[in-house]
Amino acid sequence: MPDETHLARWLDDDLDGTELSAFEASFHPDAALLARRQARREWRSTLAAAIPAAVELPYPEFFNHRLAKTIREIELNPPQTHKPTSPPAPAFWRVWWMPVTALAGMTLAFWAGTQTAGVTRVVPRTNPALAPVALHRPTVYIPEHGVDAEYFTSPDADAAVIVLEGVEPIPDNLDFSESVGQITTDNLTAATENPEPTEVTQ
Amino acid sequence: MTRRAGLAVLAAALCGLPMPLASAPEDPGKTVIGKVTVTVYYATDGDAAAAGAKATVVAKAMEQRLRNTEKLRFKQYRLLGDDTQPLFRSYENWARPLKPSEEVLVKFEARNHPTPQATHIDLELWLSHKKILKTDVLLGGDHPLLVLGPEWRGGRLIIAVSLAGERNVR
Repeated sequence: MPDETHLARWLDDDLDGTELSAFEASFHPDAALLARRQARREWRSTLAAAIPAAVELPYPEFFNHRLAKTIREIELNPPQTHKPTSPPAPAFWRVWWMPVTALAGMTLAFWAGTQTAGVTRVVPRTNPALAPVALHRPTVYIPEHGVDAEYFTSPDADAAVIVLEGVEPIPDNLDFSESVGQITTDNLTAATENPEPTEVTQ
Repeated sequence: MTRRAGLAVLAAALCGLPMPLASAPEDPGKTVIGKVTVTVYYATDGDAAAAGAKATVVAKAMEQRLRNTEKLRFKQYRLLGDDTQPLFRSYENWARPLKPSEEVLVKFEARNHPTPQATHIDLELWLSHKKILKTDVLLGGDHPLLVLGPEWRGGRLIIAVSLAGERNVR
């Protein structure tokens, strides 16, 4: 019985020259193995027809190595089915369909990856540069009794919002438009705390 | 120098009269690291004329921004005033958007040096000479803080704090 590596390579038509001659001289495959090799050949033909000829798989050596390794692992340790009620599949199908399926899945996934490599990714609606601004949760302190504050960010307005409730209304008799031009700096307690008093300009 | 002149110089020194300093070092804390604009809007579901004849209409972009937030949604908006003041490196500063009225004052101070993405500031809102709100905000390039404030003449005041140059928030 040949070793698993040579057997797998023979099934994949990977042996040639003296290596193939030596292998076939020491090994006479039965009908099941011949059928497996034929099934693999047909599957490779199917894949070759499905994948455009112009597309060359990147890193082919790595791809083939991983593919052969996966097939060998599956052949040596076929997964156990956990459905005792289902009838067992014929030995022939159970042996060959799993590596072929793995081959198909890996090939298609690899090919799909090469097709999407140049696709532009969707840009999130929120500017990533401003993400810290949108995610910032400020500390809100309300020293006045009876005043409540609600903080939230408004994505539609692209703004942070604080809603104050319970604030004492500003008297209606205060007319801001009439005060224009009447600079009053007395009683401005706030300005006394300012180390750099602001010049009021109109 | 006569005796009288010498006594005059001594008296001036003792009284603390200012003496010219030829090479006073610059205070790095007064370095301007940005500008902050505080704008006050009048929002009402009634007659906007209550804001006064000098109140102006609000730019469409800002009006839309306010309408996009349910709690800031009113039928009418008017611009009452604004003030842009420098943001110092170490010192606090004040904005008086309704100057010369002191009814609405905003005190602000940098928390750290601004980055291209955001400016972190401590902020206080004073209404009628009382501190109503203290918070810290990250102001982005076009990401203001909008505060729904007190009632006035059947409407509400909305105080917007933004980095200067964001003229689209008006």
